[in-house]
Amino acid sequence: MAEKRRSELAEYIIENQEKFYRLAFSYAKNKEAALDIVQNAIVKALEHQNDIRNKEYYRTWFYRILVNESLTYLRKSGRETLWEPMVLNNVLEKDGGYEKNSTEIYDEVMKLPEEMKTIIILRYYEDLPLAEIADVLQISLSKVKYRLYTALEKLRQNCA
Amino acid sequence: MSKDIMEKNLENSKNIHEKIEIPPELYEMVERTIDEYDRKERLHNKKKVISMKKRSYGKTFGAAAACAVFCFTAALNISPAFAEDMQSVPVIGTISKVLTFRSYEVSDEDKTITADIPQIESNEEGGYTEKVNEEILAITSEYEERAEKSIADYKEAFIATGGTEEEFEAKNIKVNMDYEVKYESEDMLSLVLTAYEDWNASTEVKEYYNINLKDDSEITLKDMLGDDYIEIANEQIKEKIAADESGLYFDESMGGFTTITDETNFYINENGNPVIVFQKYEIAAGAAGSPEFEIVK
Repeated sequence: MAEKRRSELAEYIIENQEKFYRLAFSYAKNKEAALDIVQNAIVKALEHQNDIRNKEYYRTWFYRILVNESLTYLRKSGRETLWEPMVLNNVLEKDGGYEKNSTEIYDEVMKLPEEMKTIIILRYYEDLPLAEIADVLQISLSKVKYRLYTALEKLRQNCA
Repeated sequence: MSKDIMEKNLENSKNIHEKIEIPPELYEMVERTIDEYDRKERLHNKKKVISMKKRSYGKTFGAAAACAVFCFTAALNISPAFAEDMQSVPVIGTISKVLTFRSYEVSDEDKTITADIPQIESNEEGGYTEKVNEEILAITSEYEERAEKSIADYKEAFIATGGTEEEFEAKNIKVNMDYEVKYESEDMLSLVLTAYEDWNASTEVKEYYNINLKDDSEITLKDMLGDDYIEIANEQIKEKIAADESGLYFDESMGGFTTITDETNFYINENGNPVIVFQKYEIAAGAAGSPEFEIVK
């Protein structure tokens, strides 16, 4: 009988797997690639789980691995991913109202350069505080703020 | 368009993000990846236990001979491993002041506890040495009690999740308490007390005792390095971390090394220099173990 005693990290991963997939998918735009990215990130995290003493740090740390894996995938696959708005359209049609606008915004977010996109996703879709985003990306808080405001500026122009 | 509206729009577009469809394969893949890793890890751990058994054989031979005996004096030279340790330590004078106070091995079906518990000879009452002796006894007895409980809890969880008594027994869990004399002269004594449970690396405890035998007081880094001890130690540690190529040390954003404090552990090595020891994970990845830095005066 296999032992089913799971580490806290494993539990954290299982609990948040959908979030991880969505994040990976926003980069890869492709199911197989997104699954690969998540799997690679899990293996890396498990292999290095002893590096993290404090489980409160899991989220920051796991997102760091996941974002790196996603960017590595994009670099390796050698393609600027093209976001195809059509993919989601059929899902959205049944909801009305404000979502029209939201879809447009979402499409614009997906078109942002990777470094801005990452910050918008982590901030508005994953609800990470800016300081934690700085930790995920290992850049300074002021850099995060600067990128965030340029991203907002860009979105404002593109959605005008 | 004001910032507020754009931010609100972004918050609304979270819905779209959350509509990214989750393929059913995800759950199965995550489950399988974790299981596979656990299986590999378990194989690896089994190997570790086997090699540990071999290594401790010489030591338990001596310990078993003195099983559960209170011995203030004689145990010093019983354990061949201990005698070997002593050869590398420059002992000035005749007899070591450190004695194995209790040496025993107890086994039941769940675990084996081996212990060599030291005490330091002291003539004065109420001095630092006496305090150290009391602390060693308190720490070791508390450790043993806690280890017994955590192994019992582990067993309960193991059985509750479908493991059998036999499987648990086969794990052959070990609890070990031991010490090492790092330096001993007429004036100074440096001793490290170690305790661990082999199934759970996070249970390891190390206590460092540095004693000025002349006036029966604790030796501090300040005593060893002078008033500028913090700067001297920090500078040498930072230099060594900067020269390191393993990449295991954390940078500052991850809680890497910034400065030593009065609580930083150290022992005295055979050169009579302080060696600063950080706990595992304190300033570097687990693979780096407990990083040590000899500080040269």
